[in-house]
Amino acid sequence: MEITLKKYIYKNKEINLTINNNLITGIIGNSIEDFLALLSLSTLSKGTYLFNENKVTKENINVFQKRISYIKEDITILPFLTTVKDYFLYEIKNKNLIFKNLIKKITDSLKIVGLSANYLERNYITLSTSEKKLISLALALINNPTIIIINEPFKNMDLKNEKKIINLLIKLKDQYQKTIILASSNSNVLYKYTTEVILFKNDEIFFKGPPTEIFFQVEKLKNNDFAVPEIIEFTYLAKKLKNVKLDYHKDIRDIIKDIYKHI
Amino acid sequence: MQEKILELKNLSYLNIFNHFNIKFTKNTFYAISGPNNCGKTSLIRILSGQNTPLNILFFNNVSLEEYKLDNYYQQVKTVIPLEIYFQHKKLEDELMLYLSSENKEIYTYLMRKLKLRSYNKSLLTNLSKKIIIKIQLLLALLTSPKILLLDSLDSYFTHEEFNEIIEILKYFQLKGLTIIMTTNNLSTTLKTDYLIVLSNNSILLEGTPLEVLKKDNILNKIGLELPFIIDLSIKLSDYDLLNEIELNMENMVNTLWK
Repeated sequence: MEITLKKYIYKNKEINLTINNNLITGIIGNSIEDFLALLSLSTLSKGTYLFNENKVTKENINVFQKRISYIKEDITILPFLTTVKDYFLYEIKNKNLIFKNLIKKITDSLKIVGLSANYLERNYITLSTSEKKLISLALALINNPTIIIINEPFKNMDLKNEKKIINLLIKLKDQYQKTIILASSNSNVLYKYTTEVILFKNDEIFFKGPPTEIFFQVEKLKNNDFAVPEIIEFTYLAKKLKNVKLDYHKDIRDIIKDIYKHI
Repeated sequence: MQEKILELKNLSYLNIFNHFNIKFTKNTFYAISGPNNCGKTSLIRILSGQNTPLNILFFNNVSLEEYKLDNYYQQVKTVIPLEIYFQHKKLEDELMLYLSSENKEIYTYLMRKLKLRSYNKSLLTNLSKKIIIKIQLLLALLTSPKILLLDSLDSYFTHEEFNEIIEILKYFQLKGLTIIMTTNNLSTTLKTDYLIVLSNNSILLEGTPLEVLKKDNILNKIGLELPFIIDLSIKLSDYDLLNEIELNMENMVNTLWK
């Protein structure tokens, strides 16, 4: 599913943007929580919001809200809920969802994120940070959204869990045809795994394009306080300081081979 | 030999730690890292004195049974991001609880360095997470503690923003502060004096950050990602293209292509 914003008002500024379907689109920038909430249709602003060419209005917003899941940066702990199952039932009730086979639906969501049904009886607060992140993804999948917006999924994750989450997002895109909007301050990850990147600055879109196009503009990124992927920065410095004709790579093993060739 | 300031002896805690021992010396900046679920945050909570058996935690070689928890809380401050309860609605009112003639100078320094001046009249509920964490840090440092415990603060800030915080921490270290900071980011550890890596609820590696980070095979095995520059240095050394670990990208380029 595709999102198109035409002259859509965000913090008194006009946004024009298309997020293409079935891709992982990365967003990088400071204080973007409000913008992600806007994309998730938490409210409707002035201008045009098209959801797969259908105009979203006050009358039909509920229909489209159910097709988008927004996973916030911080995990919310609700003191009146205990088990993981409680959290699922609460989410289902909140979203007014009705399922013939409720438990099967919940266990299917858990299965997609690689967790077993045993988690249902686990006390939520005893779960590790990475387990809570996976549960929040499973909760987001319960309404079978077509678009998943996820903010800072890699925060406080070690490499193993970072890879687990990125592989899961790729699986959701490839096997389940989800559109993923991935907000992260980690430019290294966005460079490696996204198809499109949006740089957000001062409440407006500063730059949008494929990561290879965006992140190669090192001077522009640095001048505007955006983090440059380290592997690109190294190549950029070799070119700039020593006129070495290294190619830009995504994998450290490839850059080593290239360095070896040029020494 | 540096003096010991804090020590945990024979800690057994839930299923996280079993007969665990750790000690910290005065005036040192420690980083504690490790994969998810290795017990980093639990260790910070235990060191902070929360639900800790008093006979296993020693401050200046005196057990907390003897030293008393209230005295310990005055000497040891903890910042766990966003775990704070404010008594007032506005920052300026909250600060009045902590200000005295003795800490006026520190207050002025911190408000300037943490760039908090413009938030003085703000409602605390309207502030961003970053600002709240900076306020937590300010309140912790205002009381001139001997030890500061920090839990994964770096994950809330950009690299540049956190470098500014490190600069502040180092300023207080010069005045005698011992800092114990957990982090998932091994790049952050390069700014500290001593790195302790936890895995499977015990100390796997320890030493100066560079000494520890050179053990790339062990770190990769437990799921930790080496900083790019160190990873590249080690791999280039394997190909005899570099002789030593280089921490600065520009220097590395200059060394490779003289």
